[in-house]
Amino acid sequence: MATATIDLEALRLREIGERKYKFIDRKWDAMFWITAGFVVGAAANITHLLFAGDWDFWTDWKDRQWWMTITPFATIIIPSALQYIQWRAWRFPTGATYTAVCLFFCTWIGRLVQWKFFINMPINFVWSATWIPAGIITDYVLLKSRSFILTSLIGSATWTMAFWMSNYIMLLPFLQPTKFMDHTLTVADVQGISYIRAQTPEYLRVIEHGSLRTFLQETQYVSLAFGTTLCVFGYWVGQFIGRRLSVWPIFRYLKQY
Amino acid sequence: MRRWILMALVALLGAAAMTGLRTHSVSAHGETAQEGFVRMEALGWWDVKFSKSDLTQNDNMTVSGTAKILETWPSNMSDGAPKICYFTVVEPGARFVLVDRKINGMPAPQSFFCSKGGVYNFSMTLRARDPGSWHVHPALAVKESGTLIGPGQYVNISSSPSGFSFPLTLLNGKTIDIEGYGTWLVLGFSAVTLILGMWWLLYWTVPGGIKRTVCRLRVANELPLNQDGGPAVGIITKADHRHMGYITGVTVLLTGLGFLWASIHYSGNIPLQVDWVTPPTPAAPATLATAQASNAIYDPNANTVQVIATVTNTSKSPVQVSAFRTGNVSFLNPLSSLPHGDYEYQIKSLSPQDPIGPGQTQQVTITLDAQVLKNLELLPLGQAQYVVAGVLELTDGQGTRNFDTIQASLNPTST
Repeated sequence: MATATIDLEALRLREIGERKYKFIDRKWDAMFWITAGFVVGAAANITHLLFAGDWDFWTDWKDRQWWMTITPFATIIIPSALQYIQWRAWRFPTGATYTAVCLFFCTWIGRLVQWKFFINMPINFVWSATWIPAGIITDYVLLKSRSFILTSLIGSATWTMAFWMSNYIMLLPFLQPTKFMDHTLTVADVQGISYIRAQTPEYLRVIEHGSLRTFLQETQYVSLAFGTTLCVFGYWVGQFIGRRLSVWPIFRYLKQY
Repeated sequence: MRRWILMALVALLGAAAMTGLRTHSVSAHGETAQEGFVRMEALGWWDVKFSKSDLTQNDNMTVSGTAKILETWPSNMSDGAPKICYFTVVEPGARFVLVDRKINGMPAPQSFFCSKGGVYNFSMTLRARDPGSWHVHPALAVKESGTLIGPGQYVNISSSPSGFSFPLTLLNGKTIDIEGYGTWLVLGFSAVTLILGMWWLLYWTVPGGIKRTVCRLRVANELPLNQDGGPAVGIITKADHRHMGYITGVTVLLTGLGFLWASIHYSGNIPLQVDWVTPPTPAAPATLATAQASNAIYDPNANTVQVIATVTNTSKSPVQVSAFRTGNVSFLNPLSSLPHGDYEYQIKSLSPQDPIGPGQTQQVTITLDAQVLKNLELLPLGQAQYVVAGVLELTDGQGTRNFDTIQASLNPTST
């Protein structure tokens, strides 16, 4: 009897889902996805710039300590909010990927127009990181787990790891050693010295300077572990934005049916 | 209403036209935005020279000179004691690349340790990159204070048929051109990740009628947050799971194999380097005389500033005031040298004009054209400190130079 009730309920929902609506056609869908892209891209970019902007602007800031600790935290906030909104509204596991794609367009338009076209900085010095692999894997975690708690724990770890691995593929050529001005430096360091940023002196770089507190000298892995922990926190900041600042005010005033 | 629409259209057209502008005409760098007294008290610049003013792409040019962190360095900047500094050049974008930098003869690729009273002889070799006419200044950035700009000049770069290249030899012996090195890997990998992301998004949003967006709200609204209803409800099907598995699998493979490939292909990499140096102290300059300023009088009617200083000649030969250098501008005694360039001017009058004899103490009055100081926003009228500071340069008959930092309160004769 209980199974039959569940089946009937499922059939009722299926019928609602497949119902044809005269005034809600695919134009509404297109309008949503395209217009929201600007808002989501801007929100993700602003959050990113506020917390971790400089690390993403230059190769000689992309270090193994701070870049890996700060950036995953800064960039998971809006994907997390979008994951909640899109899952809550449509059961779409697309929030993180959608944000990552919007951020991709935002950052690359900025790099090409502002940095390349206006002041002719070489793209290989000012390229933007990518978050798309991290977004896909985090969305997959939500799809399979259907749980925001599990996604915050597993998804945040995969977000950090995927961000690190996917971007290191692009960064590694710039970490090759060379001799410049009688000093051993990386290619990225040489870029930072040679391509002059008049108002960004070298000492402003927030990068690994070394300390007595690195665990077994494994700065990279300590940073990844710490970055993952911060990322879990960032995920729930995003959930707060999604739940309390985005969705809740809508339903507060929307007539329920 | 039509007026508003017209105005909006004009504004939009103006904004669109501005996006086409490039930075060919930029010649100011914001130095006059910094308060005059701060610039006067902070740094002294002398002997700034540009080895060339006309270059072809890939040609080298050297900017050299001396900068001194004055004893009058403002107490509210870097806690009154600058410690970390960075020599750079200020130019509109990366029109040159810096290929060599020496401070007091020592190579200094990055920042250096500095101190109040420190004298730094610098030389920076720049390689011409972008054709055009560019205004270039040497500058010294001081941690927790900002960047102070020295005297500058226009440098012209003409294009080379072969364009610009920046070869660099890696420690593994391979020579690369930094200008384009790694670009295709960055663009290619980024594009592949975009394809994967678009594949994921289009799967959920576009297929005709199956994955509608807005009208799913009615179904989703009736399900608990951690349920999707399963295949019976049909908003997330087994095919969806399978398809997402494929995309995720490709993503994981791409990332994992890419990481492995890059680690092998670019083995031997090292972390970013922090290579700060302590430059050697230059040979102690000659001490011919001591100078102390007692007053600086601004006369708005005559449009002059008179700097009054007491000079004691401690050497065995007569000395003469040869220059007063303040901010990034120099006022020269025409009896010693004539001004050239945009940042050198004549002392309007010097009293007394005769050299100061050995062992003598004499009060000298150096009269400066206040208009020059006003044009460069160096006259600190209306600012927090009414003060004039700078370096008084004295020279003896053999050309030996003596540099004394002086500072005096600025007193206008009327307001």
